[in-house]
Amino acid sequence: MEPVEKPSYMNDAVRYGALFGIAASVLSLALTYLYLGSEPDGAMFTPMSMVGIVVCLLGAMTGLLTVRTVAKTTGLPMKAGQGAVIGLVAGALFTVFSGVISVVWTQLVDPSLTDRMMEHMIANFEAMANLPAESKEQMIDAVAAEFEKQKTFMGQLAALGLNGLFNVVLNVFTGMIGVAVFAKKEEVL
Amino acid sequence: MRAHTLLMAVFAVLLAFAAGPGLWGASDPVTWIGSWQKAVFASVCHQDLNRSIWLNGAPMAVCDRCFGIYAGTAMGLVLAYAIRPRIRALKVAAVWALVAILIDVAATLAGVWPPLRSVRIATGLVLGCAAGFLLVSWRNPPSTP
Repeated sequence: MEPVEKPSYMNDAVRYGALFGIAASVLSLALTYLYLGSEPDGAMFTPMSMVGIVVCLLGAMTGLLTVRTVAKTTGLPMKAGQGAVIGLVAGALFTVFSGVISVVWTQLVDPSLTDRMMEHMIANFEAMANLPAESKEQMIDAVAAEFEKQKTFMGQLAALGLNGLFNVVLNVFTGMIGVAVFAKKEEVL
Repeated sequence: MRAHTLLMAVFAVLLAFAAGPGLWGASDPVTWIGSWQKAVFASVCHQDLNRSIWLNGAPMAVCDRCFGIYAGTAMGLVLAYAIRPRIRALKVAAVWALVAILIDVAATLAGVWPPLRSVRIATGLVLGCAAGFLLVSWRNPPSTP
């Protein structure tokens, strides 16, 4: 009896993890520089606000599309647990690719980026007209303290770990949803 | 059944985290800036103070639309114990909710209408609810040829 070869999802997970990880990093950096190039006007919703949306959308798509490709390629029925595992791997790869780019960029390519972001964000807080002066000062101090934490390699690693963990969990869910939406259903004879 | 209950527990925890530091004793936006709840959701939500629900004097860790998505998913998971809608209907609901969100985002960015909390929460709830049902769709009976 010939052994049945289990279809591998690793290639698809690497492909989508890399593709969406790089895309999320490039778009995030583009939005960050767009924000730094703008005049601080005290607005709450800035190009920086879009970074979270972009990362969330692309991150969630990673697990969903990896499962879709695996389901279409194999044409076999899949279980929700398989989708969860594929989503987990794809989400972890997304985190690794986007995390490495982020660390390399902020530590080696443009080390002053974090400082410039902090200064711009503080200037934006100062331009906010509807905040009382006392709370404004307190918020500026809190923002500065947060940036100081994130400036260190360990601080950045901790932030990446936390965000990465969330992305992995998100992809476990989108992987499971991918099975429900794209995989062939088991038929009753 | 156990996996379904586990998923519900996970979403209950996520919802409690998403509710932000206000649920955990904080009562001002300054505490929110350095809170772990904000840090957890920082990479997946814009966390705009003007588009967030405030709880106990502090904003939630996610915007009102994201909170709608998490709450909707939890709601879908609870309802899935009693109702088993067709997967096709769930796919249609999810796609329409996504389209509604895209229209709302585009219109808000273009200045057609201001960010409306009720619309943001409602669209998030519908998308989340469909996602909640889809997450446990293995409980739906298999299709017959």
